[in-house]
Amino acid sequence: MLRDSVSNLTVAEHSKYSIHEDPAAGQLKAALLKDIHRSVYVYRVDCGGCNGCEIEIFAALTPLFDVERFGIKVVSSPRHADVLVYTGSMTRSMRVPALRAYHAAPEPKICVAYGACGCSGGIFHDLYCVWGGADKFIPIDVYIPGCPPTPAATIYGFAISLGILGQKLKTSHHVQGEDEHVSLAHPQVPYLLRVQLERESRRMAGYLYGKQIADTFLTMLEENPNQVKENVQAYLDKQADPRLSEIVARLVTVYDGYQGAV
Amino acid sequence: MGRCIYCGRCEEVCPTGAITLSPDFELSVMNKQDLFEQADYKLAACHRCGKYFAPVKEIEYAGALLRQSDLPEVVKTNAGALLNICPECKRKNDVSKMVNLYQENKDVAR
Ligand code: SF4
Ligand code: SF4
Repeated sequence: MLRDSVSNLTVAEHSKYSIHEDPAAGQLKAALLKDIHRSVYVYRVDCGGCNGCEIEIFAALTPLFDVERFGIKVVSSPRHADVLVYTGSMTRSMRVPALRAYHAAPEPKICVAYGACGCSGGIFHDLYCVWGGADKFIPIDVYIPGCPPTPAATIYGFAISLGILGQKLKTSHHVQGEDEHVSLAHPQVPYLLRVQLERESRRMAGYLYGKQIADTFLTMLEENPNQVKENVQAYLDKQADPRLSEIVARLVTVYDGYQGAV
Repeated sequence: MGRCIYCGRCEEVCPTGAITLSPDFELSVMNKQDLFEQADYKLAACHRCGKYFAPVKEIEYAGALLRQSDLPEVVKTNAGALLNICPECKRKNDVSKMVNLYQENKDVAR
């Protein structure tokens, strides 16, 4: 079991000391959101992330996105804060400062878990010094996922936490239906030929674009196998992209060279 | 979704095109549960030992790929016969085949 060498407590025991918000604070919070007649002040607590999230928060402050036009200001003390933004995974050494920041902020306050790290520990979730997301200790009101969340996602997240916009994502549970099958891609093309074409395309253009280029070629091949070269040439002429022409020319060579499975 | 770093690796490698990343950014939630999406698929049991080993869907897909390929019929039948057998039984199958082969060769050499 994971044990903290300093206080000799397990993670579960630590969680017992996590804060549970009292209902009166909840009511205050609702009232605050309803008639806050001033800017909201935001304080960031970095509990142990990579700093990517901080950079994105500052990107949201730049003139391009400019959250300050919505009255959202970043302050440098939790004493001034209405919103606490917890970024980074909750590390062992930062949990106490994180709790101190929580207690230092006046009620009512809104807590935001920011980034994949803040939501769940992110890419650091299984490190020896990581306790998980900020919600392990702190009552979180809003989760903003992303690694890091883009400035647009950040602004949306703040809009949600201030009750301006509604939430879009909903949890879902899919159960396999009776007639559910995976459909084959390009069923007319022999599998091994498709693999060779896709492989060559990936080699030339990388995974994502390679896949798209091979897909285009295979679709043309399926539509009209007898005229594929004419069709491909017409397509390339229209695109007028020498890089694409070279890659597709390689695919045509692979296609010509295909002898069938042996 | 709470742990995804939106690197797109899954989109790149997904052989069936099941995953695509979108520019949608409105992902924040008030309730952590809303970051989860769950999917339940039926599992297939091994025809030899009866242990569950892979989703039915995946095995069907592998079978369909095999049929789509232009491999010789005999290869298709042989490989198709192993589709519904778990990796452990496949290993046992291979070993017993090798033992048989060894025995036969020994007999021939004698
Ligand atoms: S969520 Fe990603 S960008 Fe943000 S602190 Fe964690 S690793 Fe860095
Ligand atoms: S591989 Fe896919 S699911 Fe995994 S972190 Fe990257 S984008 Fe997210």
